[in-house]
Amino acid sequence: MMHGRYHVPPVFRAVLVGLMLLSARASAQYVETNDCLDCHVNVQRQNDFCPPVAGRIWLEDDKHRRAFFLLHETDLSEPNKGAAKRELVQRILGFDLLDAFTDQRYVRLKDMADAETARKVATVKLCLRCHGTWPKEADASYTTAPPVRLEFGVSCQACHGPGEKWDQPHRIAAWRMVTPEAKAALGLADCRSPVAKAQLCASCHVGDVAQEKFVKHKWYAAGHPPLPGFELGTFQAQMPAHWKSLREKGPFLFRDGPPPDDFLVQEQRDRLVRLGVPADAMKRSYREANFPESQASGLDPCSDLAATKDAVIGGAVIAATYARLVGDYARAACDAKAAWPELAIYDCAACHHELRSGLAATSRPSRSHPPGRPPLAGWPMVLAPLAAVQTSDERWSAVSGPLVELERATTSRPFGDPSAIHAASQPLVTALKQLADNATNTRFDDAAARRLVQYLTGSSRSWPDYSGARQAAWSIREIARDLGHKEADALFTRGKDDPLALSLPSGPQRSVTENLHRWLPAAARYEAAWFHEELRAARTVLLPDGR
Amino acid sequence: VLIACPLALHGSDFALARNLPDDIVGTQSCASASCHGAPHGRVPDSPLGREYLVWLGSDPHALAAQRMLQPRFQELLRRASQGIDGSGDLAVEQKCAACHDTSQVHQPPLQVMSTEHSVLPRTPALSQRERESSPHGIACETCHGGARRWIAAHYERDISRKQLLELGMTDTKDLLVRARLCATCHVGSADHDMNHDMMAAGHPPLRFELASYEALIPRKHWDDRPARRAEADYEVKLWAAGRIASAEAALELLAGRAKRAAGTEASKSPAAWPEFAEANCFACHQPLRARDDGPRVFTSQLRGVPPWQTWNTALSEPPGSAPMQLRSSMEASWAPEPAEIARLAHQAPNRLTGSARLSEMSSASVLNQLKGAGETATWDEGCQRLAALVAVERSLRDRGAIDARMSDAWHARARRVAAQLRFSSADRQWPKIFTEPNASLADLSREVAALGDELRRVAGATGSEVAP
Repeated sequence: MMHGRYHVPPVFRAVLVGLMLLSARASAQYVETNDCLDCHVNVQRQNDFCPPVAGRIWLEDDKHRRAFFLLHETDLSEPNKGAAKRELVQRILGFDLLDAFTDQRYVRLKDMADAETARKVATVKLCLRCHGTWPKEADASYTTAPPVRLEFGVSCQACHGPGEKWDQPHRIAAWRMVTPEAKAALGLADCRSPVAKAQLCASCHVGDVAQEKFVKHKWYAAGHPPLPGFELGTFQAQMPAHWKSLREKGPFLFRDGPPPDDFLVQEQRDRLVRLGVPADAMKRSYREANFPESQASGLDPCSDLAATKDAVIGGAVIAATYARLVGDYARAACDAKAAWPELAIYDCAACHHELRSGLAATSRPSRSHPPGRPPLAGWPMVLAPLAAVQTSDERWSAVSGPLVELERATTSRPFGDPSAIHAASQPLVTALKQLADNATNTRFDDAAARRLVQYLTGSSRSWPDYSGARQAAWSIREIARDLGHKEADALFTRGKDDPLALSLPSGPQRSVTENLHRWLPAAARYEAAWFHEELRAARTVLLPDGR
Repeated sequence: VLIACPLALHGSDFALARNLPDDIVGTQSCASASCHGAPHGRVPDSPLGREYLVWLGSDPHALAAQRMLQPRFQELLRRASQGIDGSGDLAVEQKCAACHDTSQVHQPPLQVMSTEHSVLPRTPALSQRERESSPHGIACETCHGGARRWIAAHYERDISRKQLLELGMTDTKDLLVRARLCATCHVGSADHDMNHDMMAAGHPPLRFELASYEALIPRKHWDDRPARRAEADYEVKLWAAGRIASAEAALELLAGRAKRAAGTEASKSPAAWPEFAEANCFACHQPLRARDDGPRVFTSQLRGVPPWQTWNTALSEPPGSAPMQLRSSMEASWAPEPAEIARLAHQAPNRLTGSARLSEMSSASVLNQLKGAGETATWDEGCQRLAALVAVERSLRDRGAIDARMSDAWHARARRVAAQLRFSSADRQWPKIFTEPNASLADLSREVAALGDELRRVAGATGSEVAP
């Protein structure tokens, strides 16, 4: 292989990118979000890589932009709404949000002068990990004022990384030929990698104890809406996504190689070197920089069905994120750094279900653990097998063993044994990550999509609980869309009923809290038998010839 | 004497064959036509002489052992056993038998034969035919005591009650003795533990209330009318005995659980601790809601850890500081120190004070106690308050203070409250709280208080001594 010297196995690659990103972020500074928007809301500045007005989509339609406004109301025309929100946040925190700030505009946190203030400020920071742009690794550089003004919510740099070092170089078209590792070294997160992207999303939407992104049960009990199941493809489609998949983009400049008469390219390369990009990190095409092995393995990631790929990779990554969250929390509890038990790590429905006696009435999925002990949530794991379907089935055995071990550790006694939980989570996380990496380098074409539908709608799987069924329904709809089915959105909705509450409250006008009135009753009324029939119907529609 | 009662002999053979403890002679020994198995009663309208047949025909206890053969029992056993091959565990079945089939408890373990995915995964200790021919789950001697030493004496003319008790008969006429007997299974004890694991496997919850349970037996095999005539407050005393015995049993059960968890008592399987069955069910089994914008359903308590149950202690928490200490220790953390809990639970009950407390309780004292009770914090307590008032109403009726028409009207109202407190249909053991609207505890408390006021008014108007 021509560039064998730089070839890094994909497993280590992801770790490497992560490490580089962490070190880069620790010291990197954030740029003004308005600087990003200057270009990214400007139709004149669009090019063949960026979709028109990516920034505008985020600015106007994306809930992430309003993440901080969930903590305080900015719409002064509705004083009642503001009061209710303030009261809710106060109940969750145990104090008024403003107590932690120096000013009415939420610009700066107070100095941690006394213990009481320090406690409040630290608590509010935990909220801002997800409700703003303030990752833990930025604490070193940003102590009282956030890296990005809170009113921007989860802004550009929350996902793409602090812009100081890559802001300038990324404006140069030849940047497309820089390796993700080199970009990460400058602080840019590799959102094009399905694994890295899924990890980013899952860190808030599932949780990450190490990054201090974790909703405690106490907060839920006080009124924080429950985190719903999270299916990557559906959620990003309904965000709505402000990017195009590589397949949608089609050929763009430098995708498959530099233009033959590229005297300008050399000039761009020189500028990139001056801006800190190592010369050997610049390849001859986007493809070569991002998918060095794909040519050898005969794959074309640029033509992959994007939503299908996200459903598969997301399934494994979300499972890994949840297993790590559980393990990390248990570890912290062992070290007496966290309270035990923490109910938020278990399946909500373990307790929050209608009580029934007898046999026919059981609404709880029966698993291989003693009844009556809260098990871990089932939904984060249900789509992980898709990655095994995509690679080869025997890979699943590397996951299923540790998974049973973790279930056992969690239910050996009520709430489980934290040190055993931690120990069992480690191999599971490793196996799931491996599975995700392996699945990344496979072909996501129509045949693969049909195979996945076949698996999801097959009779070998049962869907005893609502949240798991919703994951399945979401992913099937995404895959169906990739397969070009115009009726994909109509699947599982039974007309306009939407008994699984699959539609998300996307857009700035629709509220997550109000949507709870839809999906919580839907969860209480879920019937596995009905869903089984729906799956059979979906199979008939999506695989008319049975294949 | 044995020759005089041939059936007793037969019974003793039967007993030996079953390897029963020496004092048990078997139900057949009691069931002869000239003793307790007469086809027609000696006294009209009374079960006297036909106790065995009444028990067999209309007492659910007679079916307790047969229940263990039903597919649903076997499925529950399979779930609770968590066998790798899906089989039932003999140790778990023995636990079930402690209440369901006392004749089986002393059986030596038989060989277990497990077949995969079978509804009847193991050879039952007794063959099905054998059990059907002897449906002696909770039978005569389970409650009245092993009869070997008194079966021949108890129908003699000159034998005294005291003598019979010395021979091993249980004094079921003593309400507190009776209540304690019932509570052994219906609440539990150190050796009779129906816990949260079992409930999660499908076992109905235990919600014992003696007076209501007796009223639920379609036809009782004893006649309590003489006792009601002798004691005007009989129903209230029965209710009170149930309350005292429930609290005692709950403490003994908790002590047993805590001791097993502390490891001070040998146990085959590791004890579940915290034992969720000790908690208020609705502390955890709350519906998820959009906003925490009102009182929680069926409990107003929210302390981060679930409050200790009140079903068995409501209106009867034993006096003294130990129970209060116990409650605060139980509610201090998710997994309180089991040794400490065992110590406190042991200190709390004092069986000697039970009868003294029972003698203090009357219709008047119950109405007084409930008068200033205020809003109930738990659904359990709401149910118990209503049950207490139902007992008082019956006492008032027994003494003629309430006529049939008034009684019907009161009961119609009480049923409405019961419907709000409880279950949407008769076959449910749990109130529906996720899919149906629920009344607030404040409203329910007011309704219950109004029912109490009505009884107080009736008692006052008729010049009965219950008027406060």
